[in-house]
Amino acid sequence: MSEKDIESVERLDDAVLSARGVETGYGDLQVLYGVDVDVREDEIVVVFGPNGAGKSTLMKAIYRLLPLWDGSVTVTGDDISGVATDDLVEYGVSYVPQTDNVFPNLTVGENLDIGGASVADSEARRGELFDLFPRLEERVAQRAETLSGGERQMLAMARALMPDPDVLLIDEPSAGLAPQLIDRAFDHVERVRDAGTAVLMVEQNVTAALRVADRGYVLDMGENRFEGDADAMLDSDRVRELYMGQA
Amino acid sequence: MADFVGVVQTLLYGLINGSVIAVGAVGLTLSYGVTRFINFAYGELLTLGAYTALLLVGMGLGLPVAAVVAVLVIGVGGVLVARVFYDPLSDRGALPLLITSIGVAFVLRNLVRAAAGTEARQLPVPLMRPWVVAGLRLNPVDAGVMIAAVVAMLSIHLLLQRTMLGKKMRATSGNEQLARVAGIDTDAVVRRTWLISSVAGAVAGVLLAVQFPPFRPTMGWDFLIVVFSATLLGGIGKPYGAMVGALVVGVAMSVGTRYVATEYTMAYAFAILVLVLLFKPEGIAGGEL
Ligand SMILES: Nc1ncnc2c1ncn2[C@@H]1O[C@H](COP(=O)(O)OP(=O)(O)OP(=O)(O)O)[C@@H](O)[C@H]1O
Ligand SMILES: [Mg+2]
Repeated sequence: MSEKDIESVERLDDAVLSARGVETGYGDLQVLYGVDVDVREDEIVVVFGPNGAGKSTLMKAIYRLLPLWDGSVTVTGDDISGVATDDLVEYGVSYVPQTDNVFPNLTVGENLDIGGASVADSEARRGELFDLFPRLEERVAQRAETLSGGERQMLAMARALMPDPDVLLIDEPSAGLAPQLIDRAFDHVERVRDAGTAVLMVEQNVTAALRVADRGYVLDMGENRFEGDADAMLDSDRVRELYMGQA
Repeated sequence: MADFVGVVQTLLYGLINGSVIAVGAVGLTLSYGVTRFINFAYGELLTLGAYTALLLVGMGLGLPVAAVVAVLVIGVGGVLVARVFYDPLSDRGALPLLITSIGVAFVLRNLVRAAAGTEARQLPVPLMRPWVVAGLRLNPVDAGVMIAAVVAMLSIHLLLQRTMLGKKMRATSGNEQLARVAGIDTDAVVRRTWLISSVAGAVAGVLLAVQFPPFRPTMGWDFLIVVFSATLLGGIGKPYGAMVGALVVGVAMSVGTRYVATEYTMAYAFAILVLVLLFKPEGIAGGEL
């Protein structure tokens, strides 16, 4: 079931986030040629594929950092195709970029304050996130630029979670982490989902990511190539061979 | 040893000058930190602050009230200038903005000249006998100027560190795109930054006019060199750096004028500017608030 053709991406009607026929690029360079991705409530969905496939570009297009040349994006039923980036938090969707995802000149606490700027009881929310990331509480007065890679990634995630979004977009949460920290990162993703936030993540550590994910999409050359349940993808020889760097 | 008091006196004057320079430098550096371009029309805000206060005094207001009203008027005026001239160019990069701001400076300077004439003017500052303590002289007016400058600086410090607007300004300065991703209306932050920057400029202008009468329509443009050297010495975009840089420049100008040669006050600031560019070029590369 995992080896579907581009033409037949399954459409899920109960999705909290739904990107359909997304086309975008940079200047004259088209990168995405009609990508479909759905995320349902309580799901972790992983997007993977070769370097340069357009995974980060898809995230940027969903988050309105790139113009949608064609296609649409809805979050909990609202069409966000015309919504400005800085209003998206209000629609219940947050985004952690692949790089430069914390404010280096602000302390850990201030990074969270920024994330919680529109949150009614941001102190309480901050406490909840410190329960999830105790390390951040210890570093609350430290400037973000002095954090280790793993701590920075936690802070980036915590900042995005401050508004308690319905969906979190996260681009390579395990990038640059030491092997023993990678599982910890996915552990966090799982706990985020368990706390009620659906997750759309881009990942290169495909096997580890699929173990916590419910479903996956393979993107290649700006198009959907495969999709399916995480277990089925882990079992699929073709997906393993083509996209997981192991036979 | 005989001149010990003289040295301390010179340092004291330097610190008083430095505190005024600091207000000007912080205003310039804040706008740079958030918008990433050097506003060459900034000096004209100082001039406009002084002349607006003069105008209001002429209409019968007392100097303190005139000063406060002038600062508010120029604060709003600075936002309007930014909206009309800078906002439309904001995605074209720093160079077109910089050149535009030089043009804006030219126009504003000549408007002041046309309206107020080129002759030297002064604000009605009462002549007061200096206090003398242990041989050190301190003019009450200078003391007032320094207190006003310190209050301005403290306000900016509290704004940046304690208020949500300040945090948003620093976030926008650190990573503008991430700020938008995090839900910050960065356009609104930029507008407020122009307000704060313009208010600081106008405050510096009024203090300068009070401290060093008389003034002419070129006062702000001339003072820009001093503000630049303080700003770059501290690393442009860094408000606390600008404060320290301003004190160093103020003291250097005071010491140079007293012990080297009287007629080159501006030259000492310019020398610091050149030294920074030679030995600490990262000062102009910019940092975050
Ligand atoms: N700012 C940009 N300007 C021009 N082209 C870009 C830009 N960013 C990405 N691209 C191009 O778009 C294509 C897709 O890039 P994207 O970053 O989406 O890939 P990716 O799938 O996230 O890869 P990776 O696994 O390396 O992160 C690449 O060919 C890349 O060179
Ligand atoms: Mg990427």
